[in-house]
Amino acid sequence: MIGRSYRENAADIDLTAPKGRSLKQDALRRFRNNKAAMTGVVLLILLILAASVGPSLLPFNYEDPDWSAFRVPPSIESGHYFGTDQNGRDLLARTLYGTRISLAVALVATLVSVVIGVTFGAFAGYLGGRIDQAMMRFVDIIYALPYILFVILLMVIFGRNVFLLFAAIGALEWLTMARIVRGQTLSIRQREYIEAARASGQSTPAIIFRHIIPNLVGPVVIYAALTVPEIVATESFLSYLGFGVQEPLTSLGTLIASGANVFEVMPWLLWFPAGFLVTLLLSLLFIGDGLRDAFDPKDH
Amino acid sequence: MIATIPLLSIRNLHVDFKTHDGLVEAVQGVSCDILPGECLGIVGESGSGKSQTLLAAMGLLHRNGTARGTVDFQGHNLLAMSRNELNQIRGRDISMIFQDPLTSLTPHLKIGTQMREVLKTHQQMSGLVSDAKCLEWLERVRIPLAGQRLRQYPHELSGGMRQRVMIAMAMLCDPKLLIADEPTTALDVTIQAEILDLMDELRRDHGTAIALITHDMGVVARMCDRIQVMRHGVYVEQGSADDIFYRPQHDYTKMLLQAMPRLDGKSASGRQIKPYQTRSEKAEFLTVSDLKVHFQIKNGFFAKPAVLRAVDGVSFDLRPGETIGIVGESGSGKSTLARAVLQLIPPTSGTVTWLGSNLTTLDRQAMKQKREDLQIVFQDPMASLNPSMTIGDSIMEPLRIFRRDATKTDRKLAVAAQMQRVGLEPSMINRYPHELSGGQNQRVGIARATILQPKLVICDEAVSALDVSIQAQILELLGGLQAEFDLSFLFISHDLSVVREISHRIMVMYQGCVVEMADRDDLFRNPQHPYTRQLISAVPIPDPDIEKSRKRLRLKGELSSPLDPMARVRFLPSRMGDEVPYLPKLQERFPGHFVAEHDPLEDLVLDDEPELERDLTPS
Repeated sequence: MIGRSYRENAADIDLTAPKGRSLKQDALRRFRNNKAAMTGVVLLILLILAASVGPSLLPFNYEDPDWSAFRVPPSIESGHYFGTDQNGRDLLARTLYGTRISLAVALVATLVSVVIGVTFGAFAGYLGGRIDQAMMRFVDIIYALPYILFVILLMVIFGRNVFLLFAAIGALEWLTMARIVRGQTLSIRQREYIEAARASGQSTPAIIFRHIIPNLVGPVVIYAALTVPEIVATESFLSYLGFGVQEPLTSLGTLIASGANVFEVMPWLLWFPAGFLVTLLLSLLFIGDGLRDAFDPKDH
Repeated sequence: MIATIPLLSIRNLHVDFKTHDGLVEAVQGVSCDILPGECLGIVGESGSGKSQTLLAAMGLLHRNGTARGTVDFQGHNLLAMSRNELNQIRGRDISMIFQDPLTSLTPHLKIGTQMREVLKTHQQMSGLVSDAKCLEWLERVRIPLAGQRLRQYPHELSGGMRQRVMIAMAMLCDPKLLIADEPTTALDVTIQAEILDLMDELRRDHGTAIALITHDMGVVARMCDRIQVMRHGVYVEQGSADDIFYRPQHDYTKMLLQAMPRLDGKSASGRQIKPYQTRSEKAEFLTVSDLKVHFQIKNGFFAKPAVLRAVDGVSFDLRPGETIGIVGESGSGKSTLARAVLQLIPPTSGTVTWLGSNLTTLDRQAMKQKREDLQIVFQDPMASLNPSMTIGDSIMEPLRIFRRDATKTDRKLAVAAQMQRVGLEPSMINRYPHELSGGQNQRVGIARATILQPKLVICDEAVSALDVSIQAQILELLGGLQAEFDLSFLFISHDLSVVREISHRIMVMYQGCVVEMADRDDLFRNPQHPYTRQLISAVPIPDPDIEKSRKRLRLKGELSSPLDPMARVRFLPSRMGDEVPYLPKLQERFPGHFVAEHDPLEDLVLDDEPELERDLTPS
């Protein structure tokens, strides 16, 4: 019926209407104007490029020793720009490889935490009442259990597989995300457009996926950007303790751990990986901060 | 009384704001004088810069704003003063009251503490002297049990009480100028009337000049000696109240006066609704009978939950093509009633019969099918649209649910045609809500509600958040849609004049119950219930002569909490002693004119009222 009745005056309706400017595009524009955040983006891209392409361009491998150069300080002549470690392995290759692992781990864990956290939080917040209570008490219980205990348990279950381990860490990280998303959902649920959707007969999953989750992008992106550095730091911490990545595979955390042991005799073994970690964390934090300002311009 | 030396004179004031979208010139070179003891009204629609002018004068601009020009107060240029010097003047010589009395009182400090602080800062007064002065002012703004109030927190007081406290605080140091920024906009009409009376009295007794910033021409007509009309950051017209109301020069002023719906039905625009024609067939349309919505309010883990009777036994019929206006103050349950009719809130008891089927017993799936013909338009146009969807997608949502077989192009064409119908350019189909004005967004909301050509549309305060000029356009649009599609409306509003414009019949609600229901003209010509009469007498009319000659009807008691079972016998004090709380019953006093039981008006009027005004509606 609608097709027929409106077709008649369809001739004077032009559907090639100009595109509007969405809130996300607005946020992106503000983000681009933020110098600190853009510096962060540039640094992050450089780090990602270095970590992904870098190792294959180097003459040295991250695990094979250079028998002619043990404990060499950084120098241009020897070709070991970052020096070598006690076993004659090139530190530049190891640092780049370590950055790669750290980034990959952070990415996997953050992705897992976003997917679980957003869905769980949005459903809990929207359904409300007893279901919400039960879901959030479940979150509280997991929160209350000690982190390290979990990691040890997971190690027993997953064995030595690094990525599964960190996917599992992501599966713990989602708790905070779920709480944030639930809080946001509670306030969005009060908005009239949700009521309008209910009044026009939309189903619950449709309301959650069409009307609630798209409007959570701001806080979720911000929190995810802040989760990445947290997981990089967690990975470093776990590896430092000996739980995470194991030799000869390496990560920034393991490199820093072994560098710290010999800091007095071979300081470069600490300085270079630590410099990479700090740069990575700072650029991620700047990006996270920039995103927050971009999505929430009223706050400053 | 009028002295020649102005108290405050603003010369060529500019206010600019730096925003992400560039520089916004909110105020562009305005000049005005406020004389001692007068009431100057600054009228304008939202975004006209009326508040920013005086905020700039007080040095209270937001951080990204800058002010240029001069603001002269008794020989000092306020704009050139340091913050410390300004603090000497602010609160002592010039004080302000704001729109929202809850957010302008500090929530964690007792009323007394906040008031004493003012005296300590400005008059180095403390101890018993300061207590006595606070008490004196609270009594002067007619707060009952003033001594007790000093020890209470802001949230323990009602909205009207809080605004009285704000006024008392503002008056503590006997300021020469009181700046009131929309002081009654957040309040109900009956309370608005009391607050305006109070302000007028203070001005006469203390000679305090008042700068009243408002959008409401009725309030201006009632209060002001001189008026500045502001638009887009400039004063378009200024003059005495009589000049502005009876001899407006500027087109904008004329438009404002015409657009304003008037309680006495004298709207100059000549807008008329189609009179309701009784159909011959006895069609079953919408019948609501004895509908109740009760909420359990928990006061802590172990406490017995209290019952909030938001809607308590409401019955009415709506006929096809008819508009029923539902009026009531905040907390009267009118919005809850609307949601219960649509089954968005499950009713506690009672039935809603829609075209012969009882909606309260339907399951979810069956109810979903009915929703095609039952739609709703909300108050806040921005909040009722999903900000991450284009307006085209928002309007298309109902089609996605109920016209699953239609192709994408068909749906798009339907949306474009609908946009034309509600007065939106189809080329805006890809825009987002934040790119549109409030009025345009409300048109989007209406387009979404009417695209399926429903039979009933509930308008929940649909024009309350809009400026008067836009309000008039939206009312016209709704009237047009009704004529075209034979729509029925339930039109909910707190604003009697708006309801009068659009409704065939009007229902007045108080504390979840209907107190009076009648044809529009009957209700205004011959209001029966004391509450209706009080409401009508409280609404200001944009006409200074009528306003100044009218008397307000003031009744005993205040709007109490809906949790209080005695609240609903406020107009029936003879039954107050009953063991079981009595629920006043509706009686048909004239054909089609229903009135809830009440005691004679003479027993309800406040004693200090010199004589009872019989004729409450102006001719």
